[in-house]
Amino acid sequence: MDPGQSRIPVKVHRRVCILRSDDPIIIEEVLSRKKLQNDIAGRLTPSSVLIRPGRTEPIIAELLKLGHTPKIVQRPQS
Amino acid sequence: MIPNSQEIAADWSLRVEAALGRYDGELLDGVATRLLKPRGTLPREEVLDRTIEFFSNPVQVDRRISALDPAAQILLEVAAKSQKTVWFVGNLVEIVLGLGWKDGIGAVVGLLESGLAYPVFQLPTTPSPANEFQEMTTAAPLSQPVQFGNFLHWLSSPGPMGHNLFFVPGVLERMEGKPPLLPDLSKNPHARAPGRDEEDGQQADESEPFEEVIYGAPPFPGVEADGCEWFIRISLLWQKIQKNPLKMTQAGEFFKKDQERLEDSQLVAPIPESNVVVPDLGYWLAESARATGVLQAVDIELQATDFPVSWGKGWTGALRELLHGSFGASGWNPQDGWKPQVPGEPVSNPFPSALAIAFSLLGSIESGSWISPRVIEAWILRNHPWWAGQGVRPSRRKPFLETWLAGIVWPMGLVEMAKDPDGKLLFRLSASGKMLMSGASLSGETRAIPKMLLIQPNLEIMAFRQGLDPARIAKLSMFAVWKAFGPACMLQLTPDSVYRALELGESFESVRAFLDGHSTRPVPQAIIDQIGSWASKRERVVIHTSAMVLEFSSATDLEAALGRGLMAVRLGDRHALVDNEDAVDFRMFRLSGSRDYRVSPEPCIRQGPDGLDLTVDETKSDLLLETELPLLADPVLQKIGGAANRHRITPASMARVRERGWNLEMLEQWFRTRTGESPKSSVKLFFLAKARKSLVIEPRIILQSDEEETTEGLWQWQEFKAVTLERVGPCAISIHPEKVEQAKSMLESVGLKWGGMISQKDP
Repeated sequence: MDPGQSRIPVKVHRRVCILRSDDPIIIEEVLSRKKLQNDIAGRLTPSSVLIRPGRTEPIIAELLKLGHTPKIVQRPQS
Repeated sequence: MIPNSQEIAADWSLRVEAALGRYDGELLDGVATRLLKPRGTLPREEVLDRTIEFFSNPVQVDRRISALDPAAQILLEVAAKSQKTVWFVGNLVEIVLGLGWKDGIGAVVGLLESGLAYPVFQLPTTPSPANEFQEMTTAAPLSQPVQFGNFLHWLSSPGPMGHNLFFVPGVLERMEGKPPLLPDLSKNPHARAPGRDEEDGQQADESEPFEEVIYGAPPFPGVEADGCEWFIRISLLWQKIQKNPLKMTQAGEFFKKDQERLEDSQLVAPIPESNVVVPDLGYWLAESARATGVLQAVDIELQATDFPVSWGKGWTGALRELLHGSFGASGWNPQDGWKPQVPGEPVSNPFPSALAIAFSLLGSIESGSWISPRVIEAWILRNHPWWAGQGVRPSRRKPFLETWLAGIVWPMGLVEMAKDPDGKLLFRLSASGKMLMSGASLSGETRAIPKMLLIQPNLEIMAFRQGLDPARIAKLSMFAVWKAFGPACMLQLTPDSVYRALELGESFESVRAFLDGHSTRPVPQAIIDQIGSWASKRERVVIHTSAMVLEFSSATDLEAALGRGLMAVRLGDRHALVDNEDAVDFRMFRLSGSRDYRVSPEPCIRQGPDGLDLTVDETKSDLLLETELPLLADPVLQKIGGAANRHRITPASMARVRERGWNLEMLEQWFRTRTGESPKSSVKLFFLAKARKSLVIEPRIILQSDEEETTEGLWQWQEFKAVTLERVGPCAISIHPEKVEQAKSMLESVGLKWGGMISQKDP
């Protein structure tokens, strides 16, 4: 880092579960599923939905039922 | 986790360093003196460097081996012949005792003291920017490993990695070509155990029939398996438990429904030409898959994991791991089948040592000779401490070696099998078995026949076994489902199987390249289109199971961070997502808050006096709150110049919460989590108002008294109570509107004065 540059204030959120899609219809579809209401915390940004910790499995299962094939990105091993 | 031989081959020098780091100064000096023979005392760093360097000098390694006691040398011989570098100390002790020596521990300690074997310890973690950042934020102290002063101390408290040691691979390589200490039972089935004196007794009963030793070719030609069987069946098991892992009880037994899955007819179908029935074959497959790393134990589950690296490298490593797994399947043995160890009871499993000795003895017979498993088994029963002696139950003496050799090892292609004139089975090492035992790589790590697939328009794939090897089996297993396996195996392409392959890191292009490269005919275009269609759908939705989200104060800050090289996916104006924390240079940031979502949230909201005003402490808040709060309350003031983030609960916001399906318990839970206290009555009022009985506003005629006692007296007077409606306070009673005159006269009758009626219109 250039010593002349100031440090950027940032808040770090670790080990967050997020669903991301560029298709707003998919985001709406997920948010409107009553079955997933206890698993999804809410919409974080227009293209992302926050999943409650440890609740990804039911969401993946429901997405598969809906005919989607979500790409799962795991935390890489250090 | 205990490393396997492949891992030791890759990182033995790091593991030697890790072990030497645990030796205290005196022990380190002792080992260095025996191994390196320095002229003086060496500093610790130099001992580490020179020890690693030592193993690249075969002449010096040979000298140290020849200086060992015979008992320690024979351990090296068994380890070399079974090509197993990592051992449980108890098994090594049993091998020494089983080969006739009396001091098993002494031989193991001798090897450790010589510096040719080392205890297995956890490797130190590599520092990474993320680790440093975590340490900075959590201030976790780094603990120094505890050192020990002698190997008996280590044996008494081995630590989390248990009593396991490993041989440096270069040492085992030097055992190839050395005169064997193990007897050749094809020449003398009654050979004395090498460590036993003549006076020891324990000689074989000369009347035992050992005519099964046959020199030269047997009357019936030997048969050799193609080696694919277990790789296919383990892959089939891997597919079956992908979505639904096997579960084990605390007693180490599989759950009932998982037992049924392990007894699946496809999985445990008889092995063609093996001539034996393997007891509880499905359980052996599960244990073997765990031992080879295809399945992984996580808490009470056995989960499918990625195929081991050794499968991708060819036959040698994959077969070696499979053979080692067959020595030491923890809950299975060839005598009893599935017999899980009961937790808390002493470990008592002689089979890892007995089978390692048996395989080494098979490798010690004269080239070209065949031997009956009964000869080797009788020798082991005579000498191994588990079976030796008079008090052994008959059930323990049931034959087991023929089942293991014909049912488990023969399908690996490591032994040849033939029948004697009486139809009894005979064995000898196959060419692959001999090469594996010598430590050499098998000729043809991959099958020479590249074109072995026939892809049909109905999405079925026919795979010819002549062209299959572990790498190709693993690859096929990822994107197609095994339907049948015989001389030609049948697989099926499905959306789920293709999706599974993509999840495991494959791509449309890699699947297509594999099919194109191995298909005997051009792959039908419809198949390629179908796979492409399934693959493209996957990219539309991405789920990050454990990402790091960086929340910036403003869009400008996010832009600045991206401009300084932050590798992240932009989620919105102020949020960026990072999957690999190690790739982030945290030095560019000033931390304004940190939250780990696997840890329960701490209260970060303060309720106002009326309970409706909520003030967020932004240093403790999280993203979940950001999505929850707009539901529960309406923003009062946008954050400006560091002002507190305030929200207010309104009847409308509570209506939203109700519509979202929350109940009072959920609302209370949220308040306890986020504010540390229960919601105030005003919040509950807004939330429950709709559910309560409707309220009524109506005029009432109230009799108001100055004294509570007077009101109480009137209320107790039954005749007067008949003209009232209800008592509305300590000094107030509601009078029936049509009985006011009657009430007046009753008051007058007891001498009470009343001040007259106040009109409803009066103030």
